[in-house]
Amino acid sequence: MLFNSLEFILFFLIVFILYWFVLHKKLKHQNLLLLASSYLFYGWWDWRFLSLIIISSVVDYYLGIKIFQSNNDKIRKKLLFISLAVNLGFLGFFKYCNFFIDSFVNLLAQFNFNIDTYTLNIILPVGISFYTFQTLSYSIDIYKRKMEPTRDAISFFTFVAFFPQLVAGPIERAKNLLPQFSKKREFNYQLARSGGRLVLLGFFKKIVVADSLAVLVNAVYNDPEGYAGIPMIVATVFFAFQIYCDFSGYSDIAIGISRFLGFNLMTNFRTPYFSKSLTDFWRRWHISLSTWFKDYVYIPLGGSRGTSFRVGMNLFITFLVSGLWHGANWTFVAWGAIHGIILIIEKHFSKSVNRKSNLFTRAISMIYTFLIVCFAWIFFRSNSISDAFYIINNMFSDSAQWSDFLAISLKFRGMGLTILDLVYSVVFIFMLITIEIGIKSLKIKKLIGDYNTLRWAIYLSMLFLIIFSFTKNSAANFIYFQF
Amino acid sequence: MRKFILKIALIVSPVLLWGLIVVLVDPFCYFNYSRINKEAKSSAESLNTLMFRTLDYMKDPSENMILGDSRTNALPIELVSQLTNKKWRKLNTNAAKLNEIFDLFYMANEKLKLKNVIIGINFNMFNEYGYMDRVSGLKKMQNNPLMYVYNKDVAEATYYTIKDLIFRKELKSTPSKSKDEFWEWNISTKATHWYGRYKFPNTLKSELIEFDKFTKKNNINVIFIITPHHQDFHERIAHFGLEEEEQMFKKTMFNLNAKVYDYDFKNEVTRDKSNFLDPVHYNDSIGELIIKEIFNDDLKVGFTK
Repeated sequence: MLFNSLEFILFFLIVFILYWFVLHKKLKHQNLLLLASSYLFYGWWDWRFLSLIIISSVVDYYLGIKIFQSNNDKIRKKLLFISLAVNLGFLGFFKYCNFFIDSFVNLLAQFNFNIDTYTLNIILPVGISFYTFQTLSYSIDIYKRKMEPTRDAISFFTFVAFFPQLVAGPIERAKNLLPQFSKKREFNYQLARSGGRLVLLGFFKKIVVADSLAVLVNAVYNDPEGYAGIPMIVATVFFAFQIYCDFSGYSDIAIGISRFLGFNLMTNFRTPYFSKSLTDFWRRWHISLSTWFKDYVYIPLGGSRGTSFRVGMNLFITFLVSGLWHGANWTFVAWGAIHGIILIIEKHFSKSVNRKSNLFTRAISMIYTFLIVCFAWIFFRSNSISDAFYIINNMFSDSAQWSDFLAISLKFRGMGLTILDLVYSVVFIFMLITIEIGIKSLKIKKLIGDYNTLRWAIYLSMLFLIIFSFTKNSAANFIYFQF
Repeated sequence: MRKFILKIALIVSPVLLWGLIVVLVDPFCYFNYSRINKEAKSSAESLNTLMFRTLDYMKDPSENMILGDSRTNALPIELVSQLTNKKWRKLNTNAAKLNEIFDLFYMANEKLKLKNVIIGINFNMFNEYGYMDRVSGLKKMQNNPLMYVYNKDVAEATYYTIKDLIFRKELKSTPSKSKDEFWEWNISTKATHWYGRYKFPNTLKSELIEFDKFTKKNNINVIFIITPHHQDFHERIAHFGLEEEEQMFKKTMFNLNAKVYDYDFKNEVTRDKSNFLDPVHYNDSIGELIIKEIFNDDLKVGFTK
């Protein structure tokens, strides 16, 4: 069930009414409703994969209690190992099995060892990377005695399967989300209102911006040989905005609808394309994942302690794993490696550009960061490493023609887009940037807040744009569902 | 909670109100009970010809239809009806792509089983990059009124229809170029758009063959007319080095089971500028000539295998 579908709107309406008007007297009933609706929400894709969530929840619920109860380090380690083995086992089997087999066979073929293998027809369960990381952090935190396990099975099961963030995050920490299931919930108007704004912004990002940009991006990246030159540059920049709007849009909607239900989820994006360095970018992009990797991969590897070579290696390994987390393809590994290498370089050679730097320096830093991020996105979006290199080699191949409008416009033929569609896409990007600046700037925020009419005009314009775009572009999947 | 629900209702109400206005105006006659007459909705047809004509066709389908792009405008439907003694309907649209023509054909055939079909086609449509997909949206619209009510083009047409009704003004599109300027623009710019980026369309070719098999299997008589271009425009194919591709296109066409009539080569029609409104649109007299030649089985200009 997609957020951007009529069936979800109907589903959520029913849940909302039952939650606040029928079952509001007992917390347990509300939690049971959330659990049932979360399983329904997930089972809508493929009910068979519900068993994975249930097994994962049962295992971590009991292991959490056992790890906490035991004082024997060896037993605690063994129990944690079981939790890791079950969760990572599911993830490894469903996500990486065929990838590693294929990679191994290709490697052997390089040395003229050709072997026949049988690859399984495995379907990747939606959101497996997200809820696996969520349950893993629970077991690890208990093992590290950072938190106590819950004895309330319903709360725990709902925490694992909480439908707003189940399939694409934010990847919540048990410490933040789990206690909220045990707290009496009263409808909070301020919270719901802020949630409503986020839902509106999320739908705007996804339906208006991301889905409009997707047409050109898909055309170019699915057939790079058909579009040499400027369409590749445009597609790469469009993809930077597409993935941001697609993913942060999902997070906004998830956080927003959680607020309707009285929950507060963590912020996942903080205007990342205004970052002044790649280090800064990773403090603003997919925050729930980057902090997860910092806490459970980077720091256990040694973090910033040790020689600079060691620290660099820790960083590089963390980003390689992060790349692999995104998908079973070498393109994601390359994407992670690029980020890792540039972060190491930044760590050693560059001074961070702080708020006190002048506007020009900040602007240059932002452009530098955006270009680096775009370069890495080429690998992320390409269907193969060779496609990525083809795009890099050909994206400036037509620079001699850049002044010839007719020649340039011809290059965009065959994408199923009109010139007007392209113009709209650019306008939507500018609208997004304006909104982001508005959200960042306290002055603008206050100005809009003071003028009710202006605020409502903005809301209504966004709503109409969402509706008109929704009827134009068919409901498209969120990119991060595949990870 | 009351305040929250009130605010939600407040933000949703303009959307509902707009939906109501669209239903009342109904610029594309989707619901077919609007009090506003069809003539007042001329802006809708000019804004989205495909939507207007498709919705119109679906309300009154026929077993015999003419499909194509604007180059089939000049094929006189009355004459076809008279010569065949059958009711015909046209479902051609501006800038239709070949894949869209097939989509429209299947959509119409689902509505009412077709018996005879005339399709206007030209080499420029037979290009991998000549692709658009506007019909899938129309199909969804057929099944879901909300897709119609909240469609952007419908919104625009509603606005213009209301404006026309209030100010009694029709949406006018005055040409920005003289006939000669437009002629030159077609030869230089339009031809570049059509032939400057070409790839032999293997997917379209398969769709064409699939279509041909389907029509044969279902006893639907199909006539393809390769519509004429003025020779100045036709010569541009050679300038872009696509003669071989054009020959492949014609060879593909003549290998079909369907009847194919070619008018797009050097002949007395394509040599004379006065036969054309612009280099790619022949005038009504040529449309009449084509229909008479085909249905009287008396080819003087056209060519068939």
